[in-house]
Amino acid sequence: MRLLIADDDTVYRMFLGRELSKLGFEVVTACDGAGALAVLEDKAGPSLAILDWSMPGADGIEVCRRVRANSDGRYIYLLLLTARDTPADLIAGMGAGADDYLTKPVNMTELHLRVRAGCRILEFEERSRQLFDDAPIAYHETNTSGVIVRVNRAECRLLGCGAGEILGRRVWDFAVPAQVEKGMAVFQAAVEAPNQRMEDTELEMCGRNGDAVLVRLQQNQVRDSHGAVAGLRCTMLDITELRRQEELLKRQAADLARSNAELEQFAYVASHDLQEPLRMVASFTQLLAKRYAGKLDDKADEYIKYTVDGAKRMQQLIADLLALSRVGTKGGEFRDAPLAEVMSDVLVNLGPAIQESGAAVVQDSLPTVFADRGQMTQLLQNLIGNAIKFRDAKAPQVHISAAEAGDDWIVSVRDNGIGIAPEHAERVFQIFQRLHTRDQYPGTGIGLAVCRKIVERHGGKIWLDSTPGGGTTFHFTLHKCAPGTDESLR
Amino acid sequence: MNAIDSNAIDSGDTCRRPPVPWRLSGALADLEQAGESEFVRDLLDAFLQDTSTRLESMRKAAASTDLDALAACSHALKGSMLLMSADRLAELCRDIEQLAAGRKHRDYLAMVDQLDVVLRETREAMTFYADGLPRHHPPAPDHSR
Repeated sequence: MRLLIADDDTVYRMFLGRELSKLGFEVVTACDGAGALAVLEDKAGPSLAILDWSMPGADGIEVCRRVRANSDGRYIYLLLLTARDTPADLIAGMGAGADDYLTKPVNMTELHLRVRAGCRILEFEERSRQLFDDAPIAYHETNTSGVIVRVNRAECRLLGCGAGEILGRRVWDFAVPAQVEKGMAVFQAAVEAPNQRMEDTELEMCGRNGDAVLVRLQQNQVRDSHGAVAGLRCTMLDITELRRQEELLKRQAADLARSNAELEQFAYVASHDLQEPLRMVASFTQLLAKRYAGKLDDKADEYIKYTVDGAKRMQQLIADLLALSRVGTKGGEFRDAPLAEVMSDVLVNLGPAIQESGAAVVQDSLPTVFADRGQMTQLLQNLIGNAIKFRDAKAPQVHISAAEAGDDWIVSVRDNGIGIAPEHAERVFQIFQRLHTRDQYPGTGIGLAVCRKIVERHGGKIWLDSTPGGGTTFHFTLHKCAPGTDESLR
Repeated sequence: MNAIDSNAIDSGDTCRRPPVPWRLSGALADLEQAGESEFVRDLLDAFLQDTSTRLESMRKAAASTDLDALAACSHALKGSMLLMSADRLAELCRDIEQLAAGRKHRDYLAMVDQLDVVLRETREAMTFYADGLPRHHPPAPDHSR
C-alpha cells in the first residue's frame, strides 16, 4: 500500500518513512501542504496519509479539508500528526476531516497501531466500494437536493450513461418527460418522511437508446450524526420485463378463463339442446320396438334393438355431459355442509344399488366443510357408486372416513373392489376414459371427471391409492372453513 | 522509554566525556538497540543540518518581531527536538512558542541566542556520539516533493 508522509521536518520524514517502510508500505514524502495535495490529487496516489499539522503553505488541517472537499469517490485515510494535544485542537483536526491523529513525539507502538487501524478501515472501505460497484442492482446516493453524488456500474448500465454523465444530476433528470414531476415528488416525500424507509415506487426512466425502462425505486434516508437527513440511498430494480410478463400472463389467464367459460357454455347449451330431439328419437324408436317387435323380419328386430340401445346411451352421455358442465356453470353457493347429512342423502339416492349388490357402507364421524352441498352429494355419490359398481364376486364394502391435514380435511372413500392399475391412476379422472368395456361395467367415463371438477372448484385435489384386485381408496381434500374465518370461533 | 548511556558517555574518561545536555534515549535508543546505528547517525546529521536552518529563521523572526513566525518556527523545531530526545532544547523552544503565541513582550533575540548556545552544546554531544557510530555510506537523499 502507498502511504504519504507530509512533514516539513526532515527528521520526522526520515524517521516515519523508515518505520513504515519496514511495515511494508511504499512511502512517498512531501515537505509542505502543496506537495501533499499534489500527491493526493493523483488518482493512483496513496490512500493513507500522515499529515503534519504545522507545515508551510497549506497546513495539515487545510490539506484535510481540501482532500475531503475534492473527493473523487476514492477514500483517503488521513492521520494528523501534531504536537498539539488539547481537546480543542483534536476537535479542530477531526472536524477538518482527519480520521485519526498522532501526537509528537511519536511513540512507535502507537504509530504502528494507528496505521494498522487505518489500513483495516481502508480494507473495509474497499470491500464496501467493490460491493457497491459490482452489485447487480442499480444503486445511487443523493444529497438533500436530489443531486446524485455516488452511482454504481449497474445504474450506469441501466441508464446507458457513464458515471460522469450521472453524477451531479438529479434522478428525475433521467425520468421520461411524463414522469419527471412524479420523480421530484417521490424524492421530496422521501426526504421529508418521518421514517427512514419509504414505500417502493415505480418510475419510468429513459434507458439506453432512449428506451423507456420501468424501475421499482426504493429510497432510504441517510442521516448524519445529529439524526438530520443528509440525503437518500436509492436502489432501482428494472421491472420492465417482469411487468411485460405479468401483463402477458394476465391476458393469457383472462383468455383462458373466457375460453373455458365459452366451452362450458357451449357444452351446456349443446347437451341441453340435444336432449329434446334425442328424446324424440329415443321415444319413437322405443315405440317402434314395442309395436313392431316380431312383425318384421329378424334383421329388423335386431336393427331396432341397436337403435334403441344407442339412443339410450346417447341420452346418458348427454345427461352426464350436462352434469359436468353444470359443475362450473350452475354451481351453488359455498356454505357449511355437514358431510354426515350429505351422506344420508347419498345413501338414499344409492339405496337400490346398495340393496341390489348387498353392499355394506360404513362411515366414520365426518366433519362439516365449507362447500356447495349439492356438489358434495354428487361427489360422494359418484365415488360410492363406483365403489359398488366396480366389484368382483365379493359383496362390496365401502368405508368413508376423514382426517385433518392443516387447514384441510382429507376425505377418503375405500372399497374392496377390483382396483385400478397404477398406470391408470391419472387417466381415470379424464373425461370419456374407460378402463373396461360397456359389457363388463356400464358407464360413460364422465363420473370421475365430474368428481375432479367439483373438488377443484372447491380448491382441493383428488387422487387414488389402489392395487389391482386389492380395492381402491379415493382421497380428496376440502378446506375446513371459509378463507379468513377463524376456525376456533366456529 | 529506556535511556541509554553509551560506555563512552559514562566511562568517567574526562577527555571523552560529552558535554551535556544531550544523551541518547527514547526512539533513537530503541533504533540503536535494534541495530540501526547507521540510520541513527543519518538522523543526527539531518537534525543538525535542519536545526541550523530553522534557527536562522527564528533569529530573523525575532529580529523583525514577527511573533507568529517565531511561534511557528519554535513549534516546528520542538517536534523534532522531542523526537531526538533533545529535551533542554525542546523546553526552550516551548517557552519561546508560548510567549510569542501569547504576544508577550520579551527579548526574543536573547532567547534565541540562549537556544543557540544550548544547540551548540547539543550539537557537540551529538557529533561526539555520531562520530563513534559506523558510517558505511552517505545519508540517503531526500526526495520529498
